[in-house]
Amino acid sequence: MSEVPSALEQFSTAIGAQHGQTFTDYPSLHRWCCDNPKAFWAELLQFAALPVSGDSSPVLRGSSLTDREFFPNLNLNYAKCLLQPASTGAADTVAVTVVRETGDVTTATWCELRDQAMCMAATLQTLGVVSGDRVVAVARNSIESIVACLASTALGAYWSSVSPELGVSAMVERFEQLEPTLLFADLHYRLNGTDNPVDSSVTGLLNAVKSIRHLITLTAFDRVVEFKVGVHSYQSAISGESLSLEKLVDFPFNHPLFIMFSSGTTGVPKCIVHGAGGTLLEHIKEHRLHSGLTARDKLLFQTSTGWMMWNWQLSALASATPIVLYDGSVSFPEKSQLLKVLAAHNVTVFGTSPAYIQYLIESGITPCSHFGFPALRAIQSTGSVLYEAQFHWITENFKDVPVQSVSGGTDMIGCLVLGHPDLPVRAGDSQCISLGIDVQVKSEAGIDIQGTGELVVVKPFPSQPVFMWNDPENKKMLSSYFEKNPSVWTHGDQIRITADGSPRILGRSDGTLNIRGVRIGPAEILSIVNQTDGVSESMAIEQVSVREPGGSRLVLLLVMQSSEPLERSFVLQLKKRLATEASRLHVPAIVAKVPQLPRTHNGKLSEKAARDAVNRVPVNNLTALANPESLQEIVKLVPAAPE
Amino acid sequence: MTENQKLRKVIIDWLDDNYHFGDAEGLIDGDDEKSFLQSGILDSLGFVSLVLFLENSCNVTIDRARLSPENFDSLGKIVRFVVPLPNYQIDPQVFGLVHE
Repeated sequence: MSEVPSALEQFSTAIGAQHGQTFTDYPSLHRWCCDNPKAFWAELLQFAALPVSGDSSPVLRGSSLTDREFFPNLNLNYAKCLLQPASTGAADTVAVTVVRETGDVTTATWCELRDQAMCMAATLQTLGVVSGDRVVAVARNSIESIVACLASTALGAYWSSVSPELGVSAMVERFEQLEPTLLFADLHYRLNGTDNPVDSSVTGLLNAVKSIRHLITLTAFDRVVEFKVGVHSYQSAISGESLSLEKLVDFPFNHPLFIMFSSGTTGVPKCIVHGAGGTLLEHIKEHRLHSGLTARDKLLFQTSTGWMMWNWQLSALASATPIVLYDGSVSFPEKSQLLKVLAAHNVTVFGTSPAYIQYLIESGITPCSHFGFPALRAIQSTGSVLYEAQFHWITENFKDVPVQSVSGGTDMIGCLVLGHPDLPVRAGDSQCISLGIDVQVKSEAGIDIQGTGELVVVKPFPSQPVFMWNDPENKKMLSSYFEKNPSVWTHGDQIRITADGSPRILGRSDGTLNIRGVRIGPAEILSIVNQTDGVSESMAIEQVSVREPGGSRLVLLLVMQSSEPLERSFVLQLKKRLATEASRLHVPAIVAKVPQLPRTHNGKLSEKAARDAVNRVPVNNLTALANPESLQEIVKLVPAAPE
Repeated sequence: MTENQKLRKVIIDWLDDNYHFGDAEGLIDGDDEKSFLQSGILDSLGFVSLVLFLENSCNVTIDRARLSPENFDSLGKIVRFVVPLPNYQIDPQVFGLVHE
């Protein structure tokens, strides 16, 4: 343990004194917080020291996961909370640094960030944006995208963003549900040395989503493009009148802030609506207590605007922590491009993924032999399972710092298991369960605080979604998280928790795909594949392939109308469609024609059985299948993953 | 078909299967010495997957320390690098990852 007690240690001591408790270890603290949620979340709110208004009482109304409301009488403004340091002595220090693959670096101080955001907010107001509007963005990692988000949320608009690499169909599928009024868009992005225009995607989006009245372009574009809506440049939008940060309206604690997307095995992506207070409080807990972030740190999390880690990283501003964004290829123009950025910008906490770590391993790059990383004090990893060998590789070849495997996701816009500033790291495990979130294990024996099985959360927590979009009867919410195990939140992961409280995520328990660390709903693939002439039905599954970046590869099983063999040209065309209309990550590594897909006796497709078959693991409960012979056919037709 | 020609076809098929979906030959445009990295045919993450694929399909072990743009950044260079490796033999099943 360091000489100065960590923020988590201080917090533990303080609430122990306040409530007459002595916490001998983290599990005892965690258990008390789970068992006393009102006291815990009230203490956390006080610790966060946010500029809130209203009454913090009651802390919690209702006590079930499906019917609860945290801090119903409290108000806050997310943007105001993040821009607080602009009113302190740190105002002229750098808040955000953006590094591009070209080597260009741009920065914004807290003051500059506030000024741009408040000017942008005034422009949005002039354009008619009001609280409750949806503002969407097709955006790169940039200061402009952060300003756009802060300005939108400052007015109480709901923010939703995707990365420009996403195909136009996937953009439309997401945004048209939200009926947004304003679009921020980058019209091009640079990757691997190539400039990629996005204007046709933006045009397609505007044609499809009629509710959008205004477009604000985030970066200059060297071609003249005609759009059917009012177009404004970023520069003009931040050059006029300004709102006052201090005078921004506070919105209710549960006022929607971010809309994230989650795609399942059927239908269009679900729109998950997260509230401002729940998101912020959870992030502050994870940043300050679990990650130990302060104003002296610099956080770089490898992410795009389409992943919840972008929102997570953004919230670090509320802890006065400067953030470093990287825009471009992590391996261009040099294989060690991202490592150079970490070293050059004195990043203290680096967030990455098993896919990137595996890339370094397989490329023969030994980071410590090229860079010292004197400032680096922790490496966090998320997106997929970080294997024990990768933990060891990091400490031996990157830097001997705590390796914190964190996991949670879009559904709760934060982490369920993560790091701890004082606990030892056990390779393969996360250090602890997120403080005050009652994560437990559901197995055949029931629900317990230890064991191996389905990850469930048994008590309400503030970062649960406030609702799902277009779900007036709450059906989507119930079917997403409460159908399998009513009354507890089923997250969709398999977990093992040891007797001393050490958690390890074992993988997904549902049909969601995780390709190179990016979560993909099979429906996004199948909606394109099943519209293809000649395809009767299809199934997209994940095959474990440990040495691939991300640890797995995508397998597409096709049942065709014709008995003829698949033609290569057909497969290549199908892959091209997936790459163009969805994204490169949606392209299967293996396409196999099979006579039939596994089904249960009631006719439901069994992705799990097919996944077990391609992974060459025993299929449980074969008797549940109406056509178990389909699995032998899959084993015969889909090659095993390379060892 | 010589071993070099066979491996060339395997790599083109792999590029088509994973990155260019039928356009790989056109991108190479008759110039087997064209830099994959500089011409955007493959990025560094793609190289990792290609190396794994070649090891798996050609029965070879590729020394990561020897991987550099000088010997592994174009179709011609990769073929000349891989074919002479000990135990090199193309798995007959790898001509396209389409299986019936």
